[in-house]
Parts: sequence; C-alpha cells; structure tokens
Amino acid sequence: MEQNDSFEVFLKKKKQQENNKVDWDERKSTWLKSIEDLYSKINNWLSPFIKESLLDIKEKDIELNEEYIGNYKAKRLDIYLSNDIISLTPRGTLIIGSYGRIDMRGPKGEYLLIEPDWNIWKFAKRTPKLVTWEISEESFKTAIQDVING
Amino acid sequence: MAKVPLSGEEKSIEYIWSWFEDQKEALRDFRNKLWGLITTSNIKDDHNFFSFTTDDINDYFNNSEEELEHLVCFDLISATEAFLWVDFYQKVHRKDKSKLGKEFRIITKKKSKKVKGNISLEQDIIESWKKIHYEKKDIFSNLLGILNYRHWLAHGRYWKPKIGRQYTPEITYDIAENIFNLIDDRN
Repeated sequence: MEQNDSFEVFLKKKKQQENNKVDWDERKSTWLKSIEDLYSKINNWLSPFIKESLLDIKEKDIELNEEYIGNYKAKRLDIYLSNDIISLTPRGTLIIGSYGRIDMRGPKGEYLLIEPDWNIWKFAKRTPKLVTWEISEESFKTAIQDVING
Repeated sequence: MAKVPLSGEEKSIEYIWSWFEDQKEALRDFRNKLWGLITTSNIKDDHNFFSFTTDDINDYFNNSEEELEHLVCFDLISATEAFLWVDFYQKVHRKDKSKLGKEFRIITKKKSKKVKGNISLEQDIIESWKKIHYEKKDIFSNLLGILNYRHWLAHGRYWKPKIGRQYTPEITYDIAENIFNLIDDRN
C-alpha cells in the first residue's frame, strides 16, 4: 500500500514537472520581442542625433544557439559615432537571474544589459562585484560615452 | 650533516588522486546546480554567477577543471619530490650500506665542504638514482622532464614553458607512481 502511495507521489511529481515545463518557443519570441522594444527605445533616444548626422544606427542579423531553444536569429545593434562603433550583441535568454542579456561593447569599455523582468532592463558591470543600475535615456547616453572614452 | 627534522606530513599520491576525484565531482555538481538556475529568474543580483550565460558557465567550469588539473599535477610532483628527499635523508642518516646510500653520503660530504644546504634534487639525488640504477633511467628522465612543468607552475607561470609534452593528471600520476614503486622495491 505504502509502495503504491509513493508511486502515486512519483507520478504526480512527474506531472507537475511537465506542467512547469517552459514553453521555449514562447520564451524565444518574448525575448526577441523585448530586444526589438529596447532597440526601438534606443532609436527614439538617439533619433535627434541621427537626424543631425552625428551618429548612425544599423541592425544586423546574428546567429544564436542556446540549450533547449537551438539555433535562432537575433538582431545586433551597431551605433556608429565617427570612427567608433558600439555594438549591442544579444547573448541569449538563458541567463542566471535574468530573462536576457545584451553585451554593449565599445572601443574602451563594456557593459551588460540585463533583463531581470520582461522589458525591464538594467545596466550591469563587474567591478569586480556586480553593480546594476536602471537603463534610461540619460544613463544610456552616459554609457555610450563611457565605452568610447573609457 | 645536521639531521633534517622530517615532518611526516607528506601526502600519498593515492590520497591526492582520491581528493582530485572528489573535487571533479564537486565541480560537476556545482555546474549542474548552476545549469538548473538558468531557467529561474528569481536570483538576486548579488549572486556570484548572476548574468552568466550558458557559455559563460561552461567556460568558467572548463577553466576550473583545467586549473584543478594543474594543481593536482603540482601536488603529485611535490609528493614525489618529498618521497625522494625523505628517502635521501633516511639513507644518509642511517648510513645505508647500499650503493645508492654510499653515493648519497659522498655527495653530502662533498657539498658540506662547500656551501651548506645546496644539494640539488635534480643534479644530485635524481642523477645518483640514474647512475646507480641505470636500467631504470627512463623513469627518472620522465621525472626530470615533468620537473620543468613543476617549476613553471611553482614560479607563477610567467614564461612560455618549453615542455615536451602535455602533462595531464593521469600522465603525472603514472610518472609519480613509477618513482614510488621503484623506491619501495629498492628499500
């Protein structure tokens, strides 16, 4: 009798695990949409300077490969400032403590953009302790200067 | 020659190997634990591995395994060095009557006339073994070869090492075990 009980517990646990299963297709779509939304915000923040030809923005397809999801395409955002390029490269949605990560890299520095909740983005940097702060129009412009000037 | 106080704290190569296996398993468990965290988002940003991608996790653990292997090789070589030194001192202090014991005492006498404490593991102890037990010279040549790797590890790896082969813990263990067995057989 006791054995039957434990078998039932085992089966229920398995069923529960199945219910808790992540829908990876949905996760990928939400992640890609959140990248798109972030880029759109960045575009808005920088559009006055694009209009004045002080900088330019281009998106490029990159290939990502993640466990459970497999190969998929995402967009890299390149910001051109005279001779310098700052790249925002999506790293994936399987991130410890985050729904996604984009690496922002300029000639003299690098920041991480992490997404602790969907569409809530933060900057992060190891110094060596990890420091995080909100991404806003102001902090994004500061970050551009930081990764260019060091 | 003044008697060197021996500590008796040398490690056996079996103990080192068993510790190595435990650490590999601990690293595997830790890697699996972190892999389990990539699908949960309620991890605080003060977590050491916060923001790690799966590639970051793999890189971290591959590097950790490589580092563990270096340290284990170093430990195995150190244990072998200690075994050779203890055997040397015991032969000298007990006035061992074997050819090797006599050779060690000659070296000790010669060296104590010059500068004290400059007996060399490589040039004196290992070369004596090679000379007296010529048929086993390959075992000692292998040890001399791996000592270059040991010096590189011990002195902070700041130069590009000229090491003839890739020393894994398995190869290092074999070299060490051959020395231990040979010395045990001859004593």
